Amino acid sequence: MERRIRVLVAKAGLDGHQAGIRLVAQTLRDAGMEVIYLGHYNTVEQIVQAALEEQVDVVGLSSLCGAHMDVVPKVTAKLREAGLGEVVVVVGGVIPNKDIPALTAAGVSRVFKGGTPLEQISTFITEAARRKHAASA
Amino acid sequence: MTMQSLHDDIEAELCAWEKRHADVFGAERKADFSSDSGIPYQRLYTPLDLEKIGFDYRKSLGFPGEAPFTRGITPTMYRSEHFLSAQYMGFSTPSETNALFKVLQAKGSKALHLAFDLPTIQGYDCDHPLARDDVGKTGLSLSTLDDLEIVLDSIDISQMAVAWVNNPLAVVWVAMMCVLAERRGIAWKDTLGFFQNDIIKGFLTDSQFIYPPDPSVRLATDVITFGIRHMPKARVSNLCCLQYEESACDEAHQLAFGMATGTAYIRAALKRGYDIDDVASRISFLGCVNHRDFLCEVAKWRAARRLWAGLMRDTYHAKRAESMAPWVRVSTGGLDLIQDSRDMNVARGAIACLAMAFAGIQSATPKTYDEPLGIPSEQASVTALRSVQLVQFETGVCDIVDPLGGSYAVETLTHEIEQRARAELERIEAMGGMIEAVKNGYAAKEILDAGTRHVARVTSGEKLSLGLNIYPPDNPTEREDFYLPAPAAVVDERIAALVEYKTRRDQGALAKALDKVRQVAAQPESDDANMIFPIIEAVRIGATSGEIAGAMRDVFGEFRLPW
Repeated sequence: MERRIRVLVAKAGLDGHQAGIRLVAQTLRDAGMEVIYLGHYNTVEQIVQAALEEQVDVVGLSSLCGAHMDVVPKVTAKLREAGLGEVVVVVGGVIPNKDIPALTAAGVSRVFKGGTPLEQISTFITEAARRKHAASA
Repeated sequence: MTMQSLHDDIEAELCAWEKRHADVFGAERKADFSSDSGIPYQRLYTPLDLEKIGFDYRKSLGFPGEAPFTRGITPTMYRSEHFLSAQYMGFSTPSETNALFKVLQAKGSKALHLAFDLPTIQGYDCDHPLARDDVGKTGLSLSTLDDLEIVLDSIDISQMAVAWVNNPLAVVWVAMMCVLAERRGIAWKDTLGFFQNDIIKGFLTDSQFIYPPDPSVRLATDVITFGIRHMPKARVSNLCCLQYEESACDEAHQLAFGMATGTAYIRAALKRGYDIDDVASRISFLGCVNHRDFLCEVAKWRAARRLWAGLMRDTYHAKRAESMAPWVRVSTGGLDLIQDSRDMNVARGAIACLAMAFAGIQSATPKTYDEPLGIPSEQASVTALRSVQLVQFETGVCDIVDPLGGSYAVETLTHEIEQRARAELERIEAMGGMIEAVKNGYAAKEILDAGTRHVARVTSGEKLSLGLNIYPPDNPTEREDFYLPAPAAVVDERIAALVEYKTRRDQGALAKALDKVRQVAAQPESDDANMIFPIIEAVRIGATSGEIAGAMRDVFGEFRLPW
């Protein structure tokens, strides 16, 4: 039987906007994934620690208050340090187009801007996680 | 001709008209027409619809400036004074923010709405380890009275209302404004200001809260009762409906959540022995007027006035007109702004500004075309301000009081929205009020459902948005004039300056003042234990907002959402 996809969703720093991340978490659960909902007010270290403990395939970060360029590269770097370089990282929220190349360069697989259909997020994560499973099998 | 025969004539002619045109009715664009929130849009509204809703001119509308205030809260509305225009603004540093204030003031902005960064809102100074990545990102970083002096340099706080979009620590900002007024030789009673001071929406929408619900509501009540006694000109309670609209809630939920929040604060103040008229007259609304479902947005605020006036008069036995007539400040809809549709966002905002005038609101804070991406830039703020002025100076709609009053469609929609909002309000009151609806998860669930429905409707194409699901965006390239928050070097400078500031104070006096904050916080809530007084003392000694928030954290604890 195929292993269930495990996804950690979290917000770092003080941004508390919850509507988007909750909808995404619900969508991924409905698609049959195991979702670890860390919610908001996390430090980068807490997110990486949770990813390690929960052995997740995917980390989804939500950012709506402009801290993505500070926070996201730190998360991807610390994941690599923790030996979790193969974990798929996706970002959603208020992300200016001009920041997307830098986020991609930092190791983000996909940025989902506001208005992205939820199914698109779930499809992308499913495929990326399957590729990861196949690579590690 | 008798009323009955008039009715019969219209009914007969309407039937005949429908028969004559049955073929074109069958070929309409859609089978069902309705608002995004599911309010049916009939093909045509006639006097028969007014009969159906029991429309009675004197009871349903009356005259402007008199109960039930459906047509407006003053007799002359914008013929005397245009509604205020006030941009939501704030750059990372106090001096940048002051410069922007002056630009907007010179261009005709009549009030200033301060946007803060998240550390300031959440009670952390910029030198706190949790703050670093968020300093200056969503607006002004403010910790000290000296910062505030710079922000409001050459702004007369007895003439220009400064709005504090900053809920969890409204007690601190009121105290800072009082001490600033003292420094400038202005009496507290002459100080203007809008203190948003609605903590309940923080638990439900943007997580802007620090302490658990009960001490949080206590602090909100401290601000209201302090305002009653000491700041008669300041708006000390702004019931937030806007954030529910931004979370995709329908009109009924926006109004019911806002009003149930209001009755929660009213009951808290009455419990302290205040008179209903003294409390209710200090309450304002912060809502939304969107371009989407334009007529429903107009109807919503007409319905809100009628509903609130009835609630204050009949349930709470208020007697004064200003207790019943809600003063309404609105923003335009942010949910409908599209990141890659800059020019369409300008159009959306302008149409919403027109709806504001029809809705009879008192103060406008239109969202800017770049707000899907961050804090408004100067250029975008000016465009939004000019959109308000366009409606005020060029369209002529402000010369007539409640110009859509009497429209068969608008009156029917007003009735429908009032009924729906009343039912939701009664549901919340029956479960024990808004604080209970927060604690038991009801309100959070309703909001999540609204968001789910919104996304499903956008995905299915039932809800159309230009540049999102109908026609691709026309100007996806971001412009370079968007505001970029302070670079790391500036943030580091500010942090270093604050660390240095902290060494310059009388440490013994400071420790004593913060202890006093803790002592009063530990007392049960009462007028004698109003937190604003010890906080004023602490601010006089140079305490920072983060230190004061921290002292209250020591006593109240921090809250984590259980859902």
